[in-house]
Amino acid sequence: MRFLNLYWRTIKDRLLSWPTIAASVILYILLVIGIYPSFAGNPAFKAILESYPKAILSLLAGGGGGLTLLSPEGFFSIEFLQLWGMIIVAGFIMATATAIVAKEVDGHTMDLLLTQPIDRVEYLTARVAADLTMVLGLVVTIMGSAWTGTKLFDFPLKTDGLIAAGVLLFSLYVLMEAFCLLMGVVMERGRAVIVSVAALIASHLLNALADFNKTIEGWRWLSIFHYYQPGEALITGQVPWPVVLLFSSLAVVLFTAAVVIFREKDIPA
Amino acid sequence: MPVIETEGLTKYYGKSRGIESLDLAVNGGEIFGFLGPNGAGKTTTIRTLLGLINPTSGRATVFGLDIVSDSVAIRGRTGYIPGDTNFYPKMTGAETLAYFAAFRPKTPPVMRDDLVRRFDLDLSKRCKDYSRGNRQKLAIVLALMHDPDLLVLDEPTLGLDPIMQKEFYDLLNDFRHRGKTVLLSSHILSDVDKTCERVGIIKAGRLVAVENVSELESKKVHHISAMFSDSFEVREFSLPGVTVIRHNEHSLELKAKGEIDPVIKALAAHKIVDLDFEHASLEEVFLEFYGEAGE
Ligand SMILES: Nc1ncnc2c1ncn2[C@@H]1O[C@H](COP(=O)(O)OP(=O)(O)OP(=O)(O)O)[C@@H](O)[C@H]1O
Ligand SMILES: [Mg+2]
Repeated sequence: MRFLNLYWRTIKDRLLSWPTIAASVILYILLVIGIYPSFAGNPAFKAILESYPKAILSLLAGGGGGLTLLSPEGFFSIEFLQLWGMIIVAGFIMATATAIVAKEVDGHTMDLLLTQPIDRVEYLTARVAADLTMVLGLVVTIMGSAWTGTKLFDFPLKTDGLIAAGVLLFSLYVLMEAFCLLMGVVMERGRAVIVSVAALIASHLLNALADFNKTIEGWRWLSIFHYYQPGEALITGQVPWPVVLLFSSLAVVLFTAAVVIFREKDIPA
Repeated sequence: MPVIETEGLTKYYGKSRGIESLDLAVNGGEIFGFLGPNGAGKTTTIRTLLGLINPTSGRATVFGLDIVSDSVAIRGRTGYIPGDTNFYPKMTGAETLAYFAAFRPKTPPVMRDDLVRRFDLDLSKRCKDYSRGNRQKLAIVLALMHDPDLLVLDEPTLGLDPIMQKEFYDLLNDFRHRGKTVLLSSHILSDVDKTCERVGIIKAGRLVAVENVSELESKKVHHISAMFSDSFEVREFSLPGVTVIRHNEHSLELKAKGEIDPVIKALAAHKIVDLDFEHASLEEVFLEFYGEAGE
């Protein structure tokens, strides 16, 4: 009852932002997939792409390794799963997950909530569950739009590849959710968002620049994008379970830390 | 058994003292006043009892339940009103009440409509459009609508106009007569002495006295200021226990400790234009009676 009350409240709060993001995701994916045939069929583009310095391509692709923009898998992965899709949904996660604790504390509404008979662990669980439901909805929307795109346009992506990439993508988002939640527990909202954005950008740069610098290469294992390779999942149709497990375990560790710290947290007047 | 009982309850915010070794007992069915100057530790005590902040050491029980391990059960039977409440700006008053009522499925908000009528509150407005006083009324309805067994109030009448304040204190009395318990914090003596049977006096984080209101020392100190249309001699007021604070040709300000009858008689010898007569402020009382304690 309390759990569901918190859960539905959280969903209702996003009744405007979620559909907006879902709609822009659908439009953007169909657009990207729609222009692909003219793009891939044009030899001039191929020439331009090949003339680009490898560094720029890699930076765009986030250290995508062997992926090329000229295959549907590479194109969808680099253009969307590692770039715009990442930015749009990561933005949603950063805004919502940091709000769970920090926004209520900053706005002093946490007082009202925690003087009700609500357990603090229950509070975090209910709200994270609601946020993850919506994130899952976005992942399904992304993969569903791509699947629709393969039917509408000449864009051959395998269905099992889409599912596998979807699982990988969702596990990455779960990890981001846990990270942003923890930031919202230990600091105020504005800072939590800044730290989350900085961590994401740093992670991307670390992985991308590691291709060119030996010292950075040694630290690459710290970047989540080193493990996140949706292009491969699209091609093989295999869920990269070790990576999914890694992301989920990290998420559990971060969530547990958030719970432990939140339980001890003083809610100042 | 007391409804609230603390033993050596201590809270430090890092190195800064919140409350220190507080021993407090509030009995069932009483309105207990919790009185102290700014920064004494009233809010800290109340928030610790409600589980909003964790005690540094010591222990406390409410309804015999431990405040740390059984906090949820305690909050299920307790209503809380802080001095200023922030609600969700976009929700209306009605939505706010419905949202919070859903957290207490076992105790329906039986008193909701009655309270809304009593305080003449418009529930259709969004919380961001409420004035401070109306926000306070909403907080009162929210805390009382489930008819809790204990009310914890932290300067609850800040922002209420005098008529609503009276309404509120009447409500507390009804509440108490039904066997419920109230812990009422305030730094305004007159708030407390009209409603409470007993008061605890807190200073610099420590409980320095618990007294029956009727015996409260402060009642024995008065502030008097008078304006006369005729002139007077200061020495007319050199009576035992009386200190003249200020005077000029037509006005006089004095402090009277103990018996006030002689002062009134002395005043009455002149033609009075205006007269102010009040209990001394809490701060003065503290200096007077509890000055050494707790420092
Ligand atoms: N979050 C905090 N961090 C550090 N010190 C704090 C904090 N909250 C309270 N204090 C300190 O604890 C002491 C007690 O404060 P508290 O708010 O409990 O007093 P109070 O009796 O409620 O005062 P008031 O009448 O002003 O509301 C004060 O000295 C205050 O400076
Ligand atoms: Mg206070």
